[in-house]
Amino acid sequence: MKKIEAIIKPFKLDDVKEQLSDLGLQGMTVTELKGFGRQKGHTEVYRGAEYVVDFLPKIKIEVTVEDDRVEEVLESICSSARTGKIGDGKIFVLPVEECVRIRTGERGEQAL
Amino acid sequence: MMEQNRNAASASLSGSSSWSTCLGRLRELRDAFRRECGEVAPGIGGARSYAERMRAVLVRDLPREDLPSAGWALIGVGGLGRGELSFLSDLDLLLLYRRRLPGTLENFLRQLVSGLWDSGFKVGHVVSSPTGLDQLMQQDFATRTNYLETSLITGDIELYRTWRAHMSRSRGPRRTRRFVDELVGYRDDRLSRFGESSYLLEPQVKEGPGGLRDLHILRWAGVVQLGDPSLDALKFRGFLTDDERQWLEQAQDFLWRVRLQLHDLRGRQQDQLLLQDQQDVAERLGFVHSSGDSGVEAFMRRYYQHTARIRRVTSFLLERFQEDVTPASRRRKKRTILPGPFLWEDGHIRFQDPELISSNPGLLMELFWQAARTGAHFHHQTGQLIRENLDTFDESWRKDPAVAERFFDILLDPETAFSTLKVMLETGFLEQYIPEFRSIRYRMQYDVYHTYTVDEHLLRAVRQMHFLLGSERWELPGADEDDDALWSRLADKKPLFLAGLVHDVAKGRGGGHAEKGAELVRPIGRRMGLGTEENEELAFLVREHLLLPETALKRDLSDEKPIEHCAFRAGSRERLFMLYLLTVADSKATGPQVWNTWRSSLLGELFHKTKALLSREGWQTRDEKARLDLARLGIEEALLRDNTLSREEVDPWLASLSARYLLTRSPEDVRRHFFLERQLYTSGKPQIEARATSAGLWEIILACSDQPGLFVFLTGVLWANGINILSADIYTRSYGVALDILLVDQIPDPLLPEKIWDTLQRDLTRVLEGETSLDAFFRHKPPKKPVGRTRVVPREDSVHIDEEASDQYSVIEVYTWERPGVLHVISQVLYNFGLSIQLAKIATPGAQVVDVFYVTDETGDKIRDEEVHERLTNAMLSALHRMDGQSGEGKAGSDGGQEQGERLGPSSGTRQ
Repeated sequence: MKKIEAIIKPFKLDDVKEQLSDLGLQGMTVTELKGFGRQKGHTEVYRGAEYVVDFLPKIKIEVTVEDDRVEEVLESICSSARTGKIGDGKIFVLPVEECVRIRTGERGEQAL
Repeated sequence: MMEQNRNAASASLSGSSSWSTCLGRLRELRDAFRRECGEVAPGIGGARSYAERMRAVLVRDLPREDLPSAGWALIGVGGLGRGELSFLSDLDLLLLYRRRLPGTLENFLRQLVSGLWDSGFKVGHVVSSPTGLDQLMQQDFATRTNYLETSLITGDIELYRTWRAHMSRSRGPRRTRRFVDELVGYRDDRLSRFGESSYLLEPQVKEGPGGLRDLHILRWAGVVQLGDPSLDALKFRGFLTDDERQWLEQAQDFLWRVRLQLHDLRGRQQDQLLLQDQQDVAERLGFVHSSGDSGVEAFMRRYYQHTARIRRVTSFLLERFQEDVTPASRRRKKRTILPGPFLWEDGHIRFQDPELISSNPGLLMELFWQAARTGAHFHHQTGQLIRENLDTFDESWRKDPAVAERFFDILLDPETAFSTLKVMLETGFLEQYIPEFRSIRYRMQYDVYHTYTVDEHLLRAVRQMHFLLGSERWELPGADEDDDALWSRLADKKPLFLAGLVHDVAKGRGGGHAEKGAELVRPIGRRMGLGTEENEELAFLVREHLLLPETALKRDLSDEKPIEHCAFRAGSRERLFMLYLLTVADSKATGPQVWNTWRSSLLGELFHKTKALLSREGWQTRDEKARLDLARLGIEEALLRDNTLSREEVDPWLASLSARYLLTRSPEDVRRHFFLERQLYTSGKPQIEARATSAGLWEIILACSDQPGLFVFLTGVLWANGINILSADIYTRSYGVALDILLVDQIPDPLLPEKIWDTLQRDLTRVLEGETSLDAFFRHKPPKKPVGRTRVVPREDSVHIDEEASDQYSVIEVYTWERPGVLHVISQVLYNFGLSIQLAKIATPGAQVVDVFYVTDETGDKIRDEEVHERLTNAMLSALHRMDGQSGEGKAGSDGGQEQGERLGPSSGTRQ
């Protein structure tokens, strides 16, 4: 099992969600957050004074899938979240050791 | 199966029904059906009886002791309502309640849904009152369709009946009309979404064009229109012919076989038939390799045939339903009687008196001609009529000059050729008129870059030819006003367009389809009344339609020899132009991946040079000495242009340059290289200069001191940086400097290219100066892997060594399939053999990579030795083979060690 965390532009959430449900993924967790990457936010000028906007609003999507589904999920997030401009975001893939469904106590892939 | 039914039945008789027994039986049924799918390949029958058995268990075994006796109903909808399920299908349930949901019912529902979940079923459930449901259905069209076919599982039968009656009463004529319109809209949406080119190779069995959803649409239309979803009802009411009903049934069965096997294979509800699964599904359905067709190609061909039929019949029927529900008052019929027995009615063309066709089958062609002329659509009944009368159109009509005349009118019409030919194809008329078409109908090629089936591709090629001669004139690189004039002088365009339509007609008859095709098309031309000369032209175009792309992609175009070869084969400028037009149209009609800037610039260059050669008197090659002197003069002028350089600096340098370099590079290029080499001297570090050449292509020039295995390092570092090499020209100076000119595409970040060049320069310096070995470099920076599923069809690798193609170099062609780092592995093998690469051309049209290398051995001569040929071939094949074993990642750089036995000598890699 792998957990896929994608940081994307907020307005792309619907596209990504739609693509992922087309793949038949059962669920996902979405968080609103702020952050910056290579672009380091951007500088704006207000009445002659420069100030830095460091943190940009982003959306984080988390899904956990079987190992053999990772590539198709990556592909579909990339294609739906891409604008080709700076700040499209990043995807992290993390190994997941265990998964437990609390109600039933099921473990492993069947608990996904 | 039978036995299980009996078991289930006897258990239920004993009366004790609890949640665990009921769910256990459902699981048993599902697992048994899945096992059945693993052993045999059930189709629609299996899906129906599984759904029926599931429903029966639910009806019989659901524990409902404490539930109220009336006021609610549990209803199967979706696939369960329709009575067709896969073992992975969602179970769609509707709980309808009259007034208030009692607590006991809520508890029942919770037990049911979570019980099904925990048993591994996917559940889609809706709990609603009839009025709530009405609102839901008003808002969402998909919901409305979901409740058209239902079956009661348990509960208040009166409530269920009242609800059904209410549903069908609410379908007055106005609503029915709206429903049919929405149905058409819903279908169009779906077709555009799942009909995109990416879905052509990997179709969606359920939602794709002609997929199972089309059949559902017919059922829904049947419910609304006739109150009966079955195909029999449609046939009985005259909406379907006998043949059509039979087609739909066969197609439905086939699609279900495919879908169930796919589900069994993947273990999840995947309805897209991916390339990687096509082979397995084909085998499971018993498609085996036969002459000309691989099993998977035969399978996909059948798939396209079935879905095309479903799609066609569904379109026709929806059109007819729409017509039927439009009130007569709204049907303002504009009728015009056309010459011949045709009627033009509201933009549709139809036969006025269909009886006449049997006595004069030539009317069929006349109909298409009239349709093309008036831009009319085909009425759905017209399609049926054409189909029914095909047999009357026999050999004598194929030879009829008047018919041929009409056909060429259609083919040569830039506006309507494609759409008319398409209807000809779909109604089966085209293969009746040109029987040679039959063997390529629905034929697919099992690779990534032929997006369309062969028949579709041919029609698209004709369309592209019209585009190229019309609005997309600029898409013909290298063509100029001379060619325009030539084109307008060309009196006879018939052979060219006919060649466009039939150039691949011999596909699937074993290799060499161009040569075989040339023989096959002669009788076609004769039947259509082409003269001897025209027919020769036709055969020529078909025979040579691969000449230009093969030469452009695989030969050094700065060499005169391949140009001469093309000029010789084409023979005249007219023929060359026609061939070029056919070539570009062919590439563009193959698929979106095939026609790119790289290919277009190569073809343009070849066309331009061949044309120039053919225009020259007597076209013998100019004396090389004279050409060299001319080139030197131009270069000198460019270098001395702004007086920053003196003749003393320039002349000795010029004298040291190789003839190949002088003859292939423009004076501006040479000037740029001069300054780059200068920087190399002052800094002592490898120098890189990059610039964008045309859309998406970049030229990278690298100047560094020459060293053994330079090209291997270069390919390795570029690979690790995710840069794809298209071609490489390698010039090694007599004073120990190497100048490599690379053409690349797909750089990882086109927004910040400078950053990439900086990284590249840093990485190259580290590797070239021995700061890090290539192995260590790869460990630190593992080569990029493309994101996502790789769509590849592995092909047999092969190596072809040609000593004739060039006067100075051995030409090595390596055919393999695309995977990251493949070029790096190949260059490693060449290095191990002490071969120095002068020119590399890498063509990756999708699945297959054709890497072509112009090489010399360590003495600067051709290889010539057949024994070396053989050893090289074997070493190359085994290196490529090993790559697959290691999934090609990071490991390739260390291959050298295993190649020890193949090395010719420790220092053999040095380039001259």
